[in-house]
Formats: sequence, C-alpha cells, structure tokens
Amino acid sequence: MNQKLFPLLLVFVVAVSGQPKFHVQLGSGYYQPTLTALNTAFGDSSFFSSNILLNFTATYKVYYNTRVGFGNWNSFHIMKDSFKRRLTYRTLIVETYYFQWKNIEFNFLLAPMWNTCDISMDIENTNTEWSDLLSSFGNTGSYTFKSKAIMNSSWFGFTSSVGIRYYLKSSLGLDLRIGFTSNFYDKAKWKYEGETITGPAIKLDALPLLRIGIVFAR
Amino acid sequence: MRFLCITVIMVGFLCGQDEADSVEVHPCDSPLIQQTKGADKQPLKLRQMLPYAIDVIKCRLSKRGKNAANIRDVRNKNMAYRDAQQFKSFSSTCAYCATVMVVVFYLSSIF
Repeated sequence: MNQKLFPLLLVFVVAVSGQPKFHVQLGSGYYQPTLTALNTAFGDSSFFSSNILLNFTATYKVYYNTRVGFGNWNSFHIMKDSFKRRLTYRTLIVETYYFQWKNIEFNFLLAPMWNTCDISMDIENTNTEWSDLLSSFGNTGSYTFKSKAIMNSSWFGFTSSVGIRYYLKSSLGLDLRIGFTSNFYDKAKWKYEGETITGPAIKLDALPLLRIGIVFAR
Repeated sequence: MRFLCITVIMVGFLCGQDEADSVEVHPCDSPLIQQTKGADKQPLKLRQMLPYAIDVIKCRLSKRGKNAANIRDVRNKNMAYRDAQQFKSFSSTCAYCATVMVVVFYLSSIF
C-alpha cells in the first residue's frame, strides 16, 4: 500500500511546493450587446446591467505553456419587485502563454462557449385559494406566494482573446485581455415552462470584449 | 488537611517543573511543523490541527517566514519563466490562431 501511495504523495508534494499551477481569476469585463428589445420590454436599463460582465475563471497548467480550465461570466439585470435577467457565458478554456520577462506573461485564449439567458420574476402574489386553505387550518390573514416561472434559452458560442498578465508575486497577478465573443443566438429557441416560445430579438452575434481581473495562483 | 498539603505541594512542584522545562521556540521550529516535514513525517491528529494552523500563521508572519516566502516567490518566478519563456509544441499554433482571430475580428469591424 505504501509503495503505491508514495509516488502519489511525491507528485502532490511536488505540485504544492513547486511553481503555481492552479490559477483562479476574479474580474470584470466590458462588452456591447444590443439588448434594446429586452430593455424596452423591461422598461429599464443601466450601464451595469447591459455592458458589464462579472467573471470567474479557473485554469490548471497541463503543459509547459498551456492551461485548460473553465470560465463563467455573468451579466445581471435585477429590477426590484419585478423581472430578473441573467446572461451566463460559460467557457471551456484552452489558453497558451509565454513569459516575455520574468513578471510579464502574454496569453492567448481559445474557448468554445455554452451560454444561457434566464428571465424570472421574483414578485410576491396574493392567492385566495392558498389563503382559503390555510384559514381552514385556523390561520388568519392573507398569504403570498412567489412565482417560480422562468423563461430561458441556451446557445453555443466561441470566444478568443489575447492578453497580458503582470505578476506582482508568483501567486498574485493582474490580467488584461482584449478579444471577442461570437454567439449563435436564436430568438425562436426560447422555452417557457417547457414550451417553445419566441424570445427577444437581442443581438449577440459578434461582440468585442475587454476584460480585467486579479489572478490568484496556487 | 494532610491530603490538602500534599496536593498543594504536588501542584506547586509540577507547575515549577513546567516553567523550568519551557523553552522559547520559534513558531517555524514548532514540533508540529517539524512533524509534518522531513522523511519520517507523520500525520497530525485532529486535536493538533488548530495548534498547527496557529503555528503556521505565526511562522508565516515572522521575519523568518517572510524571508522564506520571498525566497520561494523568486524561485517560483524563475521556474515559471524558465518553463515558459518560449513556446513549445502545439502551444505556438494555439497562440497564432487566437492572435489571428482577434486581429481579423477587429480589422473586419473597422473596415
């Protein structure tokens, strides 16, 4: 047993005490989708909800110059007592990089995407049937319930970017990237409670993308 | 009364022994940290985890710990630079693809 465990232990110890291989990035991004149809229907829009992405990315070094991993970028539009919209861009990352200098890395990213848009309403409604049922058990007053209905759509996409990363320490860096995303969104492929419906005519097909982030390496 | 006197003497003796035996140990040289290092390292027991974590934090915040972290940092940067200062194998093709795609995308949006 020890003979089998020893090589595994050795690999683990080398991975921990060697150079950082696991990178987690938290950051933000700027892009310009055309969400006019959606924002008009909501009757509300803002710079943050339309143009800002919140990013989380985790990658692992698998080869000298290569990292693979997963990214999740989100755009939120939350209206008080009304609709909530969430655009989620999920990426399967293949990233290559090289060090021009000891602290500066240039990186190149290619990633297929699986994206979704969810629209839900988290508003409280009064339902007399619920109130009637609960009052029959001796409860008084009117009771509210939340609508769980959700409409969503999913589509494939692709993203590519080139970037520069400055390492403040071997375990901490700042990352800046410029790139684009390409999306195969189809407004006829929305679902509402399992039923196919027509969704908003938003334009996401080719979007320039700028991202900044802070990288933690371990 | 006699029993109480014996107890007091014993407690006093044990406390005195403890003080006489205690030696100021640097957190980085803590027996628990040493236990987890070296060839004959042994796993920590559950009740040792908290004292071990405290020793590790104290060690990291001490001057000696900071020096060791700086040395590790420089070594890791050198290793990363040595490993990836040049593209190897398919990684250059991937980088080339990404660069061409981004450049073509922005050029096509300009013209």
